[in-house]
Amino acid sequence: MMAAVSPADWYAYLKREWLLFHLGDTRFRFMWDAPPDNEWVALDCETTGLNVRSDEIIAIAAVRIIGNRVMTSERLELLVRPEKRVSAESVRIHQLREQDVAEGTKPEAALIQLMHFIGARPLVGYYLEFDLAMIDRALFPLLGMGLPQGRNEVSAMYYDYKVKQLPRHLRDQPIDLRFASLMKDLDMPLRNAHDALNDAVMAALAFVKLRQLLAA
Amino acid sequence: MWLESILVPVNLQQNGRRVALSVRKISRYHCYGNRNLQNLRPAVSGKPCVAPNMPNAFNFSESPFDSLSPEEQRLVRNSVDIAYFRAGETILDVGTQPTHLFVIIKGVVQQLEGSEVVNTYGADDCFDGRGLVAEKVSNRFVAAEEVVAYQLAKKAVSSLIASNATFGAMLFSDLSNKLSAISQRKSQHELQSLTMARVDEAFVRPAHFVDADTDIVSIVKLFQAERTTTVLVRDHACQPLRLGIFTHTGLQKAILNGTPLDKLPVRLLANFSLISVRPSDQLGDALAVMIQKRVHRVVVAEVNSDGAVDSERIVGILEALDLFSFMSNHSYLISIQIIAADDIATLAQAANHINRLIALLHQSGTKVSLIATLVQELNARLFERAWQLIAPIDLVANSCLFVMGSEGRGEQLLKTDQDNGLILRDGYSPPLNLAEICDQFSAALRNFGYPDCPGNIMASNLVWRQTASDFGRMTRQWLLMPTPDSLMSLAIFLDARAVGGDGNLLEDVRLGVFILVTDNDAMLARFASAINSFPESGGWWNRLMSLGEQNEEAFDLKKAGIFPLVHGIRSMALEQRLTDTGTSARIDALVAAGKLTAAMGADLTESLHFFMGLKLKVGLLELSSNRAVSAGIRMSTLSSLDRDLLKDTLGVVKRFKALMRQRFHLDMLS
Repeated sequence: MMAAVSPADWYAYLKREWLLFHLGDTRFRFMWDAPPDNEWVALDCETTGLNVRSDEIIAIAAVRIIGNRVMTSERLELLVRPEKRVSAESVRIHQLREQDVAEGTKPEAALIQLMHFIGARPLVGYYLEFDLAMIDRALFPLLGMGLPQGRNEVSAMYYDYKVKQLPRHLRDQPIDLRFASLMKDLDMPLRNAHDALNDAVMAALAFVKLRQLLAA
Repeated sequence: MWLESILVPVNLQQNGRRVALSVRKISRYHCYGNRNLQNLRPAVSGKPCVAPNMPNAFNFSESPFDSLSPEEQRLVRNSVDIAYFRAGETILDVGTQPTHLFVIIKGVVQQLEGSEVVNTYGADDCFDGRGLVAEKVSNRFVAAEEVVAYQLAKKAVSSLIASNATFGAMLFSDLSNKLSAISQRKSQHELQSLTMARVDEAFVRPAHFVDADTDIVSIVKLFQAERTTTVLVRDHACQPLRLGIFTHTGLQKAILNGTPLDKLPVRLLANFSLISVRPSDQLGDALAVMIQKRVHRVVVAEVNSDGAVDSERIVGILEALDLFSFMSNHSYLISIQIIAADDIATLAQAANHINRLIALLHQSGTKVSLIATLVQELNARLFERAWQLIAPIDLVANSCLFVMGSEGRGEQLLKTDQDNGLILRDGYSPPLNLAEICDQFSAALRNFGYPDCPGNIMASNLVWRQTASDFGRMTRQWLLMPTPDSLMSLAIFLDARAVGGDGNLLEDVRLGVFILVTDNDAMLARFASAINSFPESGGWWNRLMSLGEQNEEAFDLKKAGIFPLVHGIRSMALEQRLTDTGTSARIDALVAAGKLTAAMGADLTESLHFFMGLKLKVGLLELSSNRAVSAGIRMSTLSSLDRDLLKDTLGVVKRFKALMRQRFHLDMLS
């Protein structure tokens, strides 16, 4: 961090130093390094439910994005063994049964793998807020904080793009942000949802296209 | 309740962003709630989405990836990335060193040579295999519309080529090699699919029943009358009813028995332990039963719950000989049926069987050229027999019935229309009701499934029914005073093939035409120029594919592919005065005469056979859905391999047309 000129940069600098000072485990300093250019990591989790406080992660998938390429050959797919039971209702959604995740990695080991996979790259996802809330809670004992990387919310990008296209007087109406509608509107291939890797790949594709659309 | 909770902030419309986020949260919930609906959603490409995982969703059912083993498929899955290209973006440029093989998920890619589009790739197509191996791209590949594509690392492709010869062949080979690679793959299934056919699909002979008290002499009389060698014997003396079989081999025992044959009841000699198969059994199983039990025939019947033959539900007898001929050459049975037919109705039945035979052979992967030869023979016999049944003997002897067009060339697989004519011997006075006879013949053909010729090229038309000298005069007139119509008639006539009566009559007329052709270049050029009568196919497929699936029109294979190829070869054959009528025979003769290069000849033959096969495939589909056979082909119904091959073969036709233009100086006339 050399020349920090604007107040925003100053703030970012201070925040980074503050976080690093409080970082519980210094093995993970690399997450605060300068990220490689044009690289991102798309992320998705499957969980035992929708409650951020009580439910647990059972699968994590992440794919690297380089420029306009989604590097599915360099992917991270992890099954996580939850501490509590998997509810029957959630099994219907992600189709991961208790015996499937019983083979999984321990949460802590899974998160360490994930952090190494992400490095300093900014994150990409659909409704990332939820996935990161789940991850951050599990991460807290280890780091004393959540993931520090930048975040690119696909639905927010899509929202910006749609609003940009609309004439000013129409900008107040709600926009359909459901994932399936979003992918369809972007004319991107849609695969079975609720598979962590599929979701991550689809979010990555939407991100790649939206980046082009917003830049244009 | 939750619905209201989002509707309220929406109505407040204070901050668009915040509203959006709350809608999004709900929507995630919503997605969870509606998982079942999501599963019903069709995948984007319209194809069912089989594998749940995206890199697993790689489509392994498309060529060349369908030749991969599970191990190799895993290698593909682990080395595949997904790339995104905006419309107009160059994916590969001339001179670059390619690092990946691209397999299109969606979108259209054009291959450009200079500014000319030489090829177009759509979903599931892959490119540029050739460049990958040559380590240099020689054409430009541009995204014609937004493209999402898998990219498979070069290293993975190389190791696939090394480990799987078929994959390599499919990816890089020339057209001929590509086609033979397919037929090789198909041949593995050939015999298998015939042995997998159901027993009742084979030729099951009807069963004849006799009472157990019947004497041997009566049975031999029955053998004679019904032209059979087997009877089933019902023994009512026994409770429950006993069923047995008596065959002509049992006659030896009957004679050696010593009892006078007209006093000897069959009960003593019949075999009452029947060996049976069910109609739904596979032929291969039936064959196994015959070999195992050392019998030459089995009874085809349903069985009761206790496993015994149900005497009420006997379908017939399956003879080993019939089984073998079904497996080796089903056509033998049909030709027997044709020869033995005594009336038009029986012939119509046989004609119907020909279609089934074609479908069966096609499914089993028999080469289309073989099917065509077989069908031509059968059809010729069918025509001949019909003509013999309808026309008086002296008319048959003093005339020549011939078929023309695709039927004459032996390239008509499914019946499209009847092109036929009749030449009468000079000086012979035909029966007064000749017109009626010819009408009857046309009607019979209609009955067999040949629709009338739209151009009325039929023996029932006076123009196509003349004496030899009149016919000769007419054909010479076509040549000397050509009009587009007359040249078309001439073209059709050149393919004529005699099917009934005196074939010399036809040959004489044809010879008359050949004599006139000598060194008449201008005439030949006019004749050959018909290959340009349909607009230049310069990238029809590019047009079609860039239009997308919505406004797709049926593509006329005959105009774009078959006609230019067949007619070009016909023109060259006319120039060389070849008497062969089949296109591939003509090509062989032209290659032998040094008029075509061997490579060009091979490509043309392969292309023709591919066109015929494609037409057959589409036609059979139309027949099975009870529609009339049409010439149109919908691109979206083709597999990516067929599409690929179609592109290649049409490229061959294009090259051939250029050759023709050069040879006959077609650019000079217009």
